[in-house]
Amino acid sequence: MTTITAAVRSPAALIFWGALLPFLLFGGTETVQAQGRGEKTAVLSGFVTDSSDGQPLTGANVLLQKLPDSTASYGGATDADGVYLIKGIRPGRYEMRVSFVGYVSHLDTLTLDSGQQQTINVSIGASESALEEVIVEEEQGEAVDVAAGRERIDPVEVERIPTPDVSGDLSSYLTVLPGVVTLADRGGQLFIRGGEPAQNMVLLDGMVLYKPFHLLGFYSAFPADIIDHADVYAGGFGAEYGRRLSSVIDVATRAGNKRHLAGRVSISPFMSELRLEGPLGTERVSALVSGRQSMLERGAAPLIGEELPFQFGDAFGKVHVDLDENSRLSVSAVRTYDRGTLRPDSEVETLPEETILADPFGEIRWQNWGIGARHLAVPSTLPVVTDFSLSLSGHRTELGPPDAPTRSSSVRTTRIAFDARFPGDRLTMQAGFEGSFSRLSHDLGGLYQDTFTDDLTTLDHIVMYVEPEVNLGAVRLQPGLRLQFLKSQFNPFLAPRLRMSWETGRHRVSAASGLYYQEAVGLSDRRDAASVFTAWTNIPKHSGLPRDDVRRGQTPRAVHGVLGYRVGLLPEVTLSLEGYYKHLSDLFIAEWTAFPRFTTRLQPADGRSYGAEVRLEGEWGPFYGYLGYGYSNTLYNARQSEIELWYGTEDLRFRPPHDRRHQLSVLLNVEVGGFDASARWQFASGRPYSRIVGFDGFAPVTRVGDATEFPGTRRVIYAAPFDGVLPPYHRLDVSAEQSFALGSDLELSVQAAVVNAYHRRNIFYLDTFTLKRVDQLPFTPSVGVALRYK
Amino acid sequence: MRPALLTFLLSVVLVLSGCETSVDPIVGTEKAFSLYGVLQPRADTQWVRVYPIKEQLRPTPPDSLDVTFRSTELERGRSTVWHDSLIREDDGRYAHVYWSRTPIAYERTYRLEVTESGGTTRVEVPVPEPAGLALREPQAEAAPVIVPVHVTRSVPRLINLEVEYYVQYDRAENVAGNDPPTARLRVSYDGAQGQIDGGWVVPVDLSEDFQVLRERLVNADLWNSSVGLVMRNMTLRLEVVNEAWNPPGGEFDPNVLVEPGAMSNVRNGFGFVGAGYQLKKQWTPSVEVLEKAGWTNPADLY
Repeated sequence: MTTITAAVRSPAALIFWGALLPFLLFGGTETVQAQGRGEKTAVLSGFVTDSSDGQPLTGANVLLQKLPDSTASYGGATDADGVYLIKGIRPGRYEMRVSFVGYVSHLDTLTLDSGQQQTINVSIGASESALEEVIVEEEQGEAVDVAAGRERIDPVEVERIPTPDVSGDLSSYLTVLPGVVTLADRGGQLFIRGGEPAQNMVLLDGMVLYKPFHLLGFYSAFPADIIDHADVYAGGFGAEYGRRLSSVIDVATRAGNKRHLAGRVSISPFMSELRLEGPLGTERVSALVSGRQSMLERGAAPLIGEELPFQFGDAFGKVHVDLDENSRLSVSAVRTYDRGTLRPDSEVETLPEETILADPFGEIRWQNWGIGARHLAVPSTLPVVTDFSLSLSGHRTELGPPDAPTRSSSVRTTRIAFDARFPGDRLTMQAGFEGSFSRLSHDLGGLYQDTFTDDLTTLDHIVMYVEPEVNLGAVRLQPGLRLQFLKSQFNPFLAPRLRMSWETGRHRVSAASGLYYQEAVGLSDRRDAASVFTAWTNIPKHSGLPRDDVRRGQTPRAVHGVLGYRVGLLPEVTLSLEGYYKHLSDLFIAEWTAFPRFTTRLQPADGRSYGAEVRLEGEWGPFYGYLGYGYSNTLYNARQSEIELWYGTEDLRFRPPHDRRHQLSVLLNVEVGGFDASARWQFASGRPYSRIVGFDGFAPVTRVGDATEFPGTRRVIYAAPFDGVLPPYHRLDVSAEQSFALGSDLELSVQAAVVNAYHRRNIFYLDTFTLKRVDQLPFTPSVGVALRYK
Repeated sequence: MRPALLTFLLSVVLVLSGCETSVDPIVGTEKAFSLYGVLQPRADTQWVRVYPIKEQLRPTPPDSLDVTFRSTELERGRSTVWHDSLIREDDGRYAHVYWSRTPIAYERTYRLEVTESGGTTRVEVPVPEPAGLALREPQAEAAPVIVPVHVTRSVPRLINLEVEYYVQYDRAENVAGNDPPTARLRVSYDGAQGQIDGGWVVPVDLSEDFQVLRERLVNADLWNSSVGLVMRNMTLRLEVVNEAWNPPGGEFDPNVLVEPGAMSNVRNGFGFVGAGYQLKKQWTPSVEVLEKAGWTNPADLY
């Protein structure tokens, strides 16, 4: 690790990469111009959309065949924005064919002159013919997807997960993934392949969201209704992404319907929802608005006879404009809020005084907000796709009474990003610039004392990256380099990345690796599962005290390695295997202490996580099945001299509380006509927790005097940190939904669902101070209805 | 549905819903009590705080502990049973402090035992020998000016060494004629002591201390150069303690001491009971010595 870091940050390396970067940034254009071999070639580009609602179609194939003898052909596929760009086309007359799974193909003829760059936007409609579906499906299957550590999630997959609500949510789907660990069905925290929640970058249309998952684990700021797709990188993400150590969740939302008004309203004991979308005066402009409000306290809580003191909601809006033939503009805004207590009031009253004084279980509140604009263009003068985005987003979290919170933390981030992609047959070049400017403030009331001296800090990142994609037939290489200027030091960080795949027949092998840095850190007290308060700040500075670890002030970093294999066992069944390793350096964790309070200092730590995942997925007519198993092994190592006195070693090596070793998910879904039923069973082995030897008092004898005068406090005598294991978790959730047509455009859906169908007592956390346990949701039935206007 | 299938499904549900849901987070220990206190041969009453080690964090009731607290002087075998008392700690909780008027003698070892039905927690505490402080001639021929103070016996350890200076100074803007303020300013001498034949020596550095105190006044904007800094007297304080009173790293850091086992001499329990006494010596150096060390001559005040 040290060697790698030193190598990429050495002066020679900086000069080398600094000289190479401009070449790589502008080399794509040169490559295109050289392809003509003396004859100027043509370029064809445009957008492919769904004719029924104007949505961009991802993965549509565009094929050009020279007329009249088909002596030359060129092809390409649309990206996530429905953009295609084919260059190096010899002048002449061509047949153009645009096809997509389940859609009627578009056929046209066109003539391309020497040096011409032509834009042709195509709208295609859904097909009624099953035969054509099969044909285009074969064409679609030729596309190669580099997949190490990455998964693209579509709303259809999200809707398959049974939830107690009529509509799906990305959060429910993420918890099915074998590498994603949640501490419970509440808390709003996701741990991805050994990484902590604050190490996950979450983007919504380019806006940075710091805590987008709601208090109840089924829900997030991403209802399935607004999602176009989500890319989840559990590790090994490319040079386009950075500023986080562990993973990326990049969510792109739909544009609103550009053809006609549509909407949906739904209600259940868990959530109420309203969505409206439609054209704004012209088919070139659409709007989409969505709002949700939890109903738990008055809906679900009476059903199960337990307190569910959670309130949350979210609102989203987007305007999408087709500016002209070559460019699109969208403006998105989001706002979420959460408030609740993870421990019911009735239990707080029974707690010892010092536990209440420590106030780890007071009301927690947080909110996210963001507004962003994105301009996407395929210029008529250059064979390039440009993507410019500007966003402002923020997050605030508080713990304690609303009028006088005991802790609070805020962060506000302005982000500017410009990406340019030069597509090509053999070489596709992508490069970009990103500026991120954050302002962080906190009032921690003693938490992490002697670490935070500044209540207000700023954190600026300037980033340039280049990421060519080399197509060598069966092999695709995607090396990347990210040049990061962070505020913590003048010298830039260089973060090399590499993604690659090799595909032959039914087999595909993929791999990814990279070096990652994170300067903004989210600090939580992981000794307590119910403590979900996270303070965002810059990396702690060295206090100057001799007992400080010299690593204080170092920027946390990680090295990832991912290796995957995927095989099509049958035409409908796919098996995927993936292994990963993450090494984490210079993390900051709460210092281990025997004081029974939650005001503690920080200490640096290292960590590593490795694991393997298996997925078996199949679809047979109306049936869909998924089985995912994940093994994970995470270990933290912190050095702390004083713990040697009790544990006999300075090396505090422990399993963090999110180190679930085994996870198994089984999902079954059937959809026939208007009937849709799903069942999900999940098993997860127990999480580590710290056991207790006992409780006593502590009155430090530091001077000659009467023992009556020594200040005394309670003390908790811990066994070795996180040496206990909670019971395993397993749960069955089922749902069934029937839709009824109430006319040509109106549809009523009724859903019945049961969470925890066999009433398993799954533990949320155990308060080791009082030996009281708090369980997750019991057997919880619900019924919901939705009215949809197509 | 067939009865056999129904039975099977019900069995599966019962097994799945019931298995392995209990948690026992308490490892437990045979250690019974944690003791904290100091045996003081110069005090008329001895106090030791007693915390029972419990398996649950509950407020301590204001009831008597059902234990016997006994001290035994090992050399002569004399035993004394101590009395229970309750105090309120800063956060309002009760704590048990056992006390006795039994005299504690120098150079004896005492065994303290807390006995309950389940066992005994004990600690053996040797009491250091008596010692005194003796001033030696200042070394004032050249800077720095040092006053050696001797501890007259080879006692095991010295802790909490400090020199307190009773000084006069003035604010920069004060006018002559007003009473200049006085203050007691302290300088730590922890770690400055050295062992010599038959005792210890504490070298009190008058020159260095003058510079330290002057800088404090300057930083606090209390330095008046026309007044300077006048010393009226000085006091050396230290504590003589037994050998076991030795914190990790030589520093009394609560975050270190709180770890169970840190500086603990209690068997079948946690905590620390030490023994010791305080020594102090007050004197005023001669004007010549003070002036050589940089201090202001009292006659030059204004």
